[in-house]
Amino acid sequence: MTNSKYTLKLILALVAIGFLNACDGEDDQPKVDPAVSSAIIDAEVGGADQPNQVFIDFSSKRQTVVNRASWDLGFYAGNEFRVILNNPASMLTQAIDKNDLTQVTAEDTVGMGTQMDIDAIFGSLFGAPAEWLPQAQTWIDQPDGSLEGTAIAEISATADQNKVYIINRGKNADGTARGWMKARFLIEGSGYKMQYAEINATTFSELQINKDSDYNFNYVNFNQGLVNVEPESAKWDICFTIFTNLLPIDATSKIPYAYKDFVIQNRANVEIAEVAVADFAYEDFTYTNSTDLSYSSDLATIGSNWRIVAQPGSDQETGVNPDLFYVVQDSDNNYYKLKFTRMLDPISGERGYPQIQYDLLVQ
Amino acid sequence: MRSAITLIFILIYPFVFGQKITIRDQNSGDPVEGVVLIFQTLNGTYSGQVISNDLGTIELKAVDFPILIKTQHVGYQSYSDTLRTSKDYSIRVVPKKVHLDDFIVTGQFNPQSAEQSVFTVKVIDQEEIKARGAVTLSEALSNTLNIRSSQDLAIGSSGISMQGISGQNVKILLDGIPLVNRNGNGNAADLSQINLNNIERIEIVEGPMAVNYGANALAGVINLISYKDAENTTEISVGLQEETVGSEFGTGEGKHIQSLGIKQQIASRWFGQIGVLHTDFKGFQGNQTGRTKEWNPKEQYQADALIRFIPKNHSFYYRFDFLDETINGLGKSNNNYLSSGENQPFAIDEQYLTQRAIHHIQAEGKLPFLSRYNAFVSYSDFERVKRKMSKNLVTGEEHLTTSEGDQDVSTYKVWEFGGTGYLAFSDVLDLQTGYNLSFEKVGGGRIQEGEQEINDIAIYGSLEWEISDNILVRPGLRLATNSSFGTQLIPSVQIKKPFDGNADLRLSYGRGYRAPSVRELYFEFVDSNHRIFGNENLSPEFSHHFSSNFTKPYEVGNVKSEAGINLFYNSIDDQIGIAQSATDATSTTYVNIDKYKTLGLGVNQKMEWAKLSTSIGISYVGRFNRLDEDQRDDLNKFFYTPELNGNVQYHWTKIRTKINVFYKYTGALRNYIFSEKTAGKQEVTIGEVEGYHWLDLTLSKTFFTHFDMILGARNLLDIQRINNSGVSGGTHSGGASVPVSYGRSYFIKLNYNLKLK
Repeated sequence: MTNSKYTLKLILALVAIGFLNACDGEDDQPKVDPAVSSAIIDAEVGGADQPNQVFIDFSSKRQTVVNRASWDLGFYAGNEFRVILNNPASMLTQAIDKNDLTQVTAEDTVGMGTQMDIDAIFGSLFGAPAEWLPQAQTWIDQPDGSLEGTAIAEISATADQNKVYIINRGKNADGTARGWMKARFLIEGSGYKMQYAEINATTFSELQINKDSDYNFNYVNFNQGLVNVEPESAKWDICFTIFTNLLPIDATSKIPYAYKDFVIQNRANVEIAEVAVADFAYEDFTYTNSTDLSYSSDLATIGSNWRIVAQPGSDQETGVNPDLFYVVQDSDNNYYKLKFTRMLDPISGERGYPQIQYDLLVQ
Repeated sequence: MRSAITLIFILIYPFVFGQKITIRDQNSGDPVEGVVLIFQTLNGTYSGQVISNDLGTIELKAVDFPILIKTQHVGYQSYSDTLRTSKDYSIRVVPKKVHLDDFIVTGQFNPQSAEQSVFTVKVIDQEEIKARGAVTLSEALSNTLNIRSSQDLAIGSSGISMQGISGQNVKILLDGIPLVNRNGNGNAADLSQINLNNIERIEIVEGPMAVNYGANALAGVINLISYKDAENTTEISVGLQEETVGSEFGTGEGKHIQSLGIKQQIASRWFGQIGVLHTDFKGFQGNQTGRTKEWNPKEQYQADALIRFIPKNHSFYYRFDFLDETINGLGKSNNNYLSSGENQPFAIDEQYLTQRAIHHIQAEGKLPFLSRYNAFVSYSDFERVKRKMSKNLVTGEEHLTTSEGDQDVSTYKVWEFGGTGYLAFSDVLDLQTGYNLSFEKVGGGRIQEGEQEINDIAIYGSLEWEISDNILVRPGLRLATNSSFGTQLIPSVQIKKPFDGNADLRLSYGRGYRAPSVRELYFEFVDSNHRIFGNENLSPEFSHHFSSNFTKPYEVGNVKSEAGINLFYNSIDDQIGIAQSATDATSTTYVNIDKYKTLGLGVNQKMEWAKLSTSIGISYVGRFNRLDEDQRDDLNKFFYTPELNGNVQYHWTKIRTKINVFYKYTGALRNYIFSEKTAGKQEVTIGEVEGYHWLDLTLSKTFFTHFDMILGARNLLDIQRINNSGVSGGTHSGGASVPVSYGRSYFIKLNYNLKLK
């Protein structure tokens, strides 16, 4: 009995210790990367709704901020006659078999409202397989940026061959719909002519767009006519934006899906290579290392690879992908190493506050 | 409680005085107390009922011999005989294998042994809970057949499916009352929040117990029965358990558990008890580094208290149960350079704070017009606060984050009122009727208007009718009306037929239903890529459940054995799935579209030598999922998963030590994902969640009368994650593996039990 009383005391003592050992000291001495001399840019994407496209020029360390719903179409300023859609607003389009805008009525768009809409496409995944779904990926410009992959066909010099396009203007930053239009594109002199109207209109407006070759594209808003969007071709390298990409839903099918925190690059002058931290540490990476990399002009080389978004039930956390950094070759043949330092606002924790760090690689 | 349930006929001829009948245990020769004997003279002149005293003796006075007797006792096989001459008799009764503690209550008219139940009830008793060193329900169920568990690392929760049907359809009860949790009133429970420190046993019934327990018990019911009594005047128990988490252990690592329980007979008719439990799981770092952990730390305090008043023929009690849980998920460090170039890294931390309080008043006993009644009122209050904070790792400054859904309070408040009355019409016909009122109030950030209410009112009745030759038939009916989906009539029928040698055949048909959850009715979530809305017009999911079970005990030499075989089939219609809204193509909502079936076959075998007992079971469960009406014929098939379990216990009486081995193989789970390729053509991909083996080993020893010690190893095969090839790509891929455990761990549990007469 004495023995068990002693043991009881011992147990009670252990219990007391158990209740007391609740001190956590994870942050007593956090490991902090040292201060850097690199260039740092806080891209003004604008927070949770990510309302802005942010074009960044490394050599001047400048950012140009444009509301992503401020334009509809971009007219290629190079040799070809191509028109791109406002991908950041999730615009979708398809041609109909008519070439006279005045002949187009709501009847020509029957069914499109429940299909040619970024949310309707996603919603259709939750039901019987929709027959039209495989076509959905042809309603956007191909995400790699190839001009051959635009949703609107190359504009023909033969006016009659240019069909009428029904356009869903996508969404504003706050999620509201931007409405529908019909439009037709023609070559006019060395530039373009656009005929456009609301779906039920019996008349249409015309707009002349000349090619200004300082830019990759010349931009148009249906309501305002010509607008400024991206800086001159030689004056930006990468751009933060929401981007309507193709999301694989299984081994063979893809649907348009709006990716947040996406990074695209300047198609004209910039090439980018991805580097695994496993191969090189960012700090140790020098110009000499940059020559062995394979560079890509795919618009979406960086894309969404730079970040991780947590999924319910997974142990991954939303933030920068720590395993990668990038090397950017710009229009002046400068090489920069580029590292994404954060994805979230350090106080509010909201997405849409990315920060980058980059260094010129000296030859 | 110890009173036997007895049914006796006695037929008598002559009449003599003062005879003594002594009833003894056939094996031990000990006298048996509490054997009830009803006797009757053959000529019908006299009959009566007597109960044996603590010497096993029954006095028969002024009884005409010969008499015909038949005895029955809950712990012994019944005995019949004709006693012809007037003299003292000694009767030897054969003990049944059931122990007195094997009384079950789930769905029963009266507490009785599982063998006598008209439907199959599995029991995990105190001895088994102890032998496993199980602190939570998920640990206690870790090798039960037909139950599969799943883990969510971020919020540290543990869910289950039963008979291949999801946890939303498994109803978890505490003394018959739904145990409320974040996602439901009894169903979809987080098993890691259910502690067993004051639980006497766990009763598991597979198949919908909808007549008695209403909605959401489509797959089955798990009823936790708490302690409400003690054998001694005072009982004090102090427990201490130290557990490694994988290979991590220390003051800031591992799992540390302390418990204290006091039971006290306060006065002749009063009993009280209190209990406290503290579980401190320090998390598991695993493959994570720095601040982050693969399994987040979780700390729980649980307290319970009971006061019980036991006047003649009645019992009243009030029970209070409280849980407080804190989960701390520390985020990884993110760099943040200030314009000066200085780095002030920050992290996004998450915290989940749960509190659950249950008040429960219950009355039971006998009334002049009822053989037995039971009535209760309970109020459950569940609240979980989700907090997300940013922390500057240099200055230590913290702020609440502001993204949609970052800060949330989920609440679930339920009032339940219920009662049953049981009436024995005759020896062969019993009736049970009952009512149940349930008022639920559910709140949370993504619920329309922040809070919604669901009320449910039901009445039900069952008959137990012994038709002939001991065939017992139990038809039942429940009429329920619900504020969100109207009125249902739920039938069930169960049949039990005994055969020679204690073999039993049980057949059961039941209709079950799952009520749409508040989330399915009133969810609201809109962001740039998702527009999901609840659907207030949902109907419940309805199922048909069929099962049969045959058990037969037998002996080979001195080995006592029992073999069982069981079959089940569930067919669920109108299963709720997510689908494109019919009225707005741009949004998705919940609709009654899917069809789901499960089919299972199981066999089990128990064997007991003197000191060694073993059991083995195999089950084969098929799942069928129809996601679309036009589904191709060759897809309309079941995908089968095998499960196998085995337990071995060796009782080394000489050194008062028990050695236990618990094993389970959970087979690969296959399912198919079908997709559209080109117009009209579907392509099927078959995904598979890998199978795995689970093995626990424990050694328990009693010493110095008052001490129990358990040494154990959980998950000896060190399973951590299993592959899941069914995960498709895209933005929402969370990795192609499913977490099972943090790996092999060892524990030691020390218990001090003081008992004062």
